[in-house]
Amino acid sequence: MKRSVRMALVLLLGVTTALAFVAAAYATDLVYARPSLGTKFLDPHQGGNSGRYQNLNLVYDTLVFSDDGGTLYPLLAEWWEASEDYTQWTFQLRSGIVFHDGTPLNAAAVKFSFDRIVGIGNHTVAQWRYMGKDSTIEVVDDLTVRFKLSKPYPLFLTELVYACYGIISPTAVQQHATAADPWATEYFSSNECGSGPFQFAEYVPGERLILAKNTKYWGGVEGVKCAAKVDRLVMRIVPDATTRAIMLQSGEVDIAEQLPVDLLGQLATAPGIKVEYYPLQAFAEIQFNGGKAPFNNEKVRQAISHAIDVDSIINGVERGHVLPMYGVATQGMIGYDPTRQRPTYDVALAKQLLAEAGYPNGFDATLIWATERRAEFDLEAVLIQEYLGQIGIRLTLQSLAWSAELEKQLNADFDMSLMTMTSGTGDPSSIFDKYLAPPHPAAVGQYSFRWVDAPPIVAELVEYGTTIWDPATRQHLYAFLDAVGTAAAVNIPLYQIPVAFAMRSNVHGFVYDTLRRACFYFVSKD
Amino acid sequence: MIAYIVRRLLFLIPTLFAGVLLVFGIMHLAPGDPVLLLAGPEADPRIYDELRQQWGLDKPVYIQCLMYLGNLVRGDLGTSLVTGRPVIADIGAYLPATVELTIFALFLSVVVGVLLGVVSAVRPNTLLDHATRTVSLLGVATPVFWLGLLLIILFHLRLSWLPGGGRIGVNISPPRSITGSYLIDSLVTGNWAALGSSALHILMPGFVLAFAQIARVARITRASMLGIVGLDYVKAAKAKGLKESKVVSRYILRNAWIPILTMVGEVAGTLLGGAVVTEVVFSWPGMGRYAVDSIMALDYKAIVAFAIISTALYAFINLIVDVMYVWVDPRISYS
Repeated sequence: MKRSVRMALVLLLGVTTALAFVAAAYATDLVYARPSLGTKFLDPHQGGNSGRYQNLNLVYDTLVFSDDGGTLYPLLAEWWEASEDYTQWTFQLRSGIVFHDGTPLNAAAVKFSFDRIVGIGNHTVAQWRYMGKDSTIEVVDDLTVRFKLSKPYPLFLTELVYACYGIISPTAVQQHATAADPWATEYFSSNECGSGPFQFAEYVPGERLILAKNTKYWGGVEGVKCAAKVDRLVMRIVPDATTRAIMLQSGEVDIAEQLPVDLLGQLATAPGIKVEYYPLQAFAEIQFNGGKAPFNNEKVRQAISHAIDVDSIINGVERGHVLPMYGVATQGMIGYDPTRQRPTYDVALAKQLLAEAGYPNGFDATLIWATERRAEFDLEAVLIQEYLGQIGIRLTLQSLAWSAELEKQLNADFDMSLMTMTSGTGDPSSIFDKYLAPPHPAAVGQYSFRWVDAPPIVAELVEYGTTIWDPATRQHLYAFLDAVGTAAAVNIPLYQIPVAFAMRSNVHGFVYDTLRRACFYFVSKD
Repeated sequence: MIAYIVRRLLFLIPTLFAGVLLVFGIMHLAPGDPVLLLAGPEADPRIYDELRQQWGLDKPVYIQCLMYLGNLVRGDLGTSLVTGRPVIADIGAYLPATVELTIFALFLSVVVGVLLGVVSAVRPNTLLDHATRTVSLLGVATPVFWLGLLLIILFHLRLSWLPGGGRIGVNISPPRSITGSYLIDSLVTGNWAALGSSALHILMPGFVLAFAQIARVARITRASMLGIVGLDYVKAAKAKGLKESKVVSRYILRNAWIPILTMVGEVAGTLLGGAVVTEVVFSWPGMGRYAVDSIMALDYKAIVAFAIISTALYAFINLIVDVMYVWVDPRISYS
């Protein structure tokens, strides 16, 4: 008996030692804990949730790239040229770039990738899925490609920055295509073949995705995108936030994301850990069902905007880690006006406005939200209920699954909603379109939080914004539109959402930009 | 006996059929539109329609259900809306992890539970009995997520003895898949690094999952044995001068096995269901987490598949328990 115990101990010691040696062999691993990889997480051309954008930028390159301030840079394209009417865009590609399977990048590969977007045609956010049906792409020569658009699109370059325009190896797609799946969507849901600084190494479903450094990366553009500094990026799927925090404290992971505010507070004071906040072009807000009484009454909306002490939400629930927000244009976006003021917290004024609107005794209403959009909404909804109770608005709180909330919004089956909103491309056109433009006649569903009775000139100006390129003119235009929308209290913006990442102190250079790209290629470890 | 097993397996078919109908009904009563969720609210109607058609959602529910059953007979569980892979491939990837964790936890539950129950029954109302019953009570009363986090803080963060989560270390590739169990596969292939790592990884989630069930098994063992201790044949055995260990193992425990076995069957089913929380806390890549992700995305093909697999496993466990009755008690016969 004693002998067998001794044997077991020796075996355990041996295994542990072996494990330690194996661990030492990968000293430059960067381990990143996240709750999920996102849906169809390695295919840029299929649709999916926003979590997957963190992967796509690492393994794919786009023709054009932007920095955090929105300045455009050529990436796979060496230069570009637009026709005067913005219908023809010509891109000259860099030479000598190869995909991860060794296939050279050329104009045919670019055309193939854009054709794949149209071919897959389902639920990608890429506008090309519509534009591509009426537009053509011409392979001028091996390294020159020309897009001939069916209508002028001055913002074409801004659109191409999006990770869903990653260029994929045609050889790899053809290799894995089948008659039933000609674009190899099944294979590329969890595999990749781009030309980015990282490349696929291992995927264990539900457990981890490992990306290895692409040692043949062409180099990128200085300060914008570069070759990876660590050997491997290990993305560990850790669904529980507390477990992510504990693993970070123990050193089992180097970076952790999506941690609630209270855990972030604890981690910020823990030794060997730092918490960094990165502003997103996304914000939290209260939306109104603009087509339904009493929320179709501007004075009711204004009354609510004066009845809520937003600063107490920012400093209390959010502990001051979010940015104040006074319109729908976020900091860093064209149209953002730093001089704009939030409606004052003034209960007397709110009561007066409500009385003027014909509701001196208030009314009953329901506030819906989805905790999965933002965990802090659970507490914030209670605070909002308290504030509105002061002016006689009796709120019923209803927490829903995101799918149920979305359905209620599209069926205009709600009163007020706590939501997060994001600008997909970082350009103001998409966000202003949601609030101030009339409903899209062709869309399946419609956002019911639009400014339903907006003056027609507002919709015309929103449309005009998509036809001009000059940044100064667009700044004036969108700042004006934002002021108009804020005055009408179309919604109540609460705060601009930053994304918090907690990381070990020996991790340097991490950047998470406003387009939700986690730039792991900049990261190094001591 | 074989005829009985075949009959029971045939009964599984209407059970699965009822399960599919039930889950299909619930899924279509639940609010939310999976196509809208993936396509986005302002999608082009052509794309929306194309997707509904592609996923068969444009047809009436009963047609969808019939089509699903037709595909099921051919072994086609459809394609997941979330992962973009065939559901059968996803299940092949996630199910072995849950089965491995469940079997490990079941083993712990039975061995430790029966041991504690025996000790408690042999020395009733002693300090040992009270201690055992207190531990059993704690097991039933302790929430799984709380105990899980507590153990992670103690054994991972403070003592650094065990990993904080996952199924295998990040620097070790999973063993070549034979059975899907990392422990067995690494043992069979002689991959000692993988064996050591996966053994260390399963300890905490296995114990947490088993803790409440240890208590149940211990309590039923104690109760069942106490009902037998006073019977005449036990007294006769003791009077003959047999060793106490022999009396306990041959005369008391053997006759107490029927209720324990019934409880073990129930425990196995509970462990399968209870694995969801444990899998989330310990980042264990199993079916429970796959099901939760599928429900949040309204990925109905994955959800129905999960229901089918769970029903089949539960029915299979019950069948094994029923067959074991015959082995434990020769007086029972299914002829």
